Amino acid sequence: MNPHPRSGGPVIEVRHLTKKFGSTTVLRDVDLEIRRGEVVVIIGPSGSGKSTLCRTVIGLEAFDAGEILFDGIEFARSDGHGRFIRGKDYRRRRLEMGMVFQHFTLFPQLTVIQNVMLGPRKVLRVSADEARDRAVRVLDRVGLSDKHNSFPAHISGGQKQRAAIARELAMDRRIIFFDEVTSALDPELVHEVLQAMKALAESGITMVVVTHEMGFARNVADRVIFVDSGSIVEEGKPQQLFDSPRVARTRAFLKKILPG
Amino acid sequence: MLIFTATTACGPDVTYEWNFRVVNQYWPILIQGIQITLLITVAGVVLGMSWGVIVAAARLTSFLPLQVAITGYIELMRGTPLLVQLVWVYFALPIITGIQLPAIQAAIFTLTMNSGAFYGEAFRSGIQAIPKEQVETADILGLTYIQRMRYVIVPQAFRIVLPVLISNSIGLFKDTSLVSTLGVADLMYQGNLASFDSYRPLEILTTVAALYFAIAFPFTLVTRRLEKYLARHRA
Repeated sequence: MNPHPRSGGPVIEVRHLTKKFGSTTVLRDVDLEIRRGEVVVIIGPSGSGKSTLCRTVIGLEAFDAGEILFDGIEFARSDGHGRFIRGKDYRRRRLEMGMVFQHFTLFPQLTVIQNVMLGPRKVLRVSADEARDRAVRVLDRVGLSDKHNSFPAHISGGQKQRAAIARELAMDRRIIFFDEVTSALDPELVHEVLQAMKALAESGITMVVVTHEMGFARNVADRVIFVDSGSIVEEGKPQQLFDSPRVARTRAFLKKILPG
Repeated sequence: MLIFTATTACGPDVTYEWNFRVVNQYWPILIQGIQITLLITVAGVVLGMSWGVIVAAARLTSFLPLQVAITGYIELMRGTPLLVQLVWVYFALPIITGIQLPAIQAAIFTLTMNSGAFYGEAFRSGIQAIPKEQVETADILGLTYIQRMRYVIVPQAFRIVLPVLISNSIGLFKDTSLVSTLGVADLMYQGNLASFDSYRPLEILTTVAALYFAIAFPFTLVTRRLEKYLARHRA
């Protein structure tokens, strides 16, 4: 039996998305579909727009043209004049999407467990007991049972990132974006974070991962997307994309970053 | 009782006989002066910080006219001497507006306006020092604007600016000595009075200086400890 069915319908549909910073176009008419339970890894050179793509989909950035659907219903669209119109249910939809950043994600004045409990308590408005139960459960899942009362300043970078993942889990997200979560880590800490993400992927949650970790992309992704200069250049199953890329730009990029 | 007598040579013919015993009879008015100084300081700190929050909010707004106005005000406060501001509010403002404030209120108002500019800048820099990911994470978590302020931004900004706030407040405490020029009976004013009365300005003013120092120094020590503490606990 397949423990994680990956054949769900689309959760997120991005259509003709264009995004500019001033006069620079960072995303150029992008179409993208994220299906339920899917693990999508986005790769590409720095400055290619992969982070901006995630940030735009989750609602951190306005955009200049196009629309984004969530469960087939309008989540946000551009009015064509650089303004951004929220669909109805915008806030509720947004709560179903989580994100982990490269750094500065945990709130430094709160302990690990307080960090995890804050959202459930103040946003989902669950009881203190329920929030604590959830926090204990998700911290256990990422292997941080012994760090409940530590402050972020006193744990390692890898532990911080795992705590940040736990915080998203406590919010019952349907989809979690990971924006280069291991890029700022010391090499020996990368593995534990990727391991936690892999366990998450196996649990069936929908994930969109921007990363430079090609091993992770190859082993965990259902689909890999190569982005360059604000466009999706190529996408496919990891095997296909890594072993026999169809587009010359993909080949050139992979040749640069993969040894051998 | 402390008696301090020393002889200092000031040139070939002049010797000065220090006599701190003369201070004793002035303790009652010096203590009254300390009370007024502390009252003005506390009023200036509380009102100045409250006003400073508004100043910072106005500077961080995207509404341009407000931003320009508040920046102009801050530069005016920073670019002119406090003494001039005090004299101006007390003597010139009544001529322009017809409102004559009693000296102590004019003093507190001016100190509030002056310190509010400095506190405001401290708050602004504290808020801007918070990494943008913190605000975005709070946003994605689903916290409302008020909740983001309360649980994420204010607690962090406060830690960042606390040492600056204390050192601004110590500065304000010392600056209150200028209000004596408006005839407000603070420590400095009473010290001047005692000096003229006793013909012993050196002993009296030395005592006044020692009193200012004795009140300010513990706060300086607290700031130093706090800075070390915060440096260790920053993520």
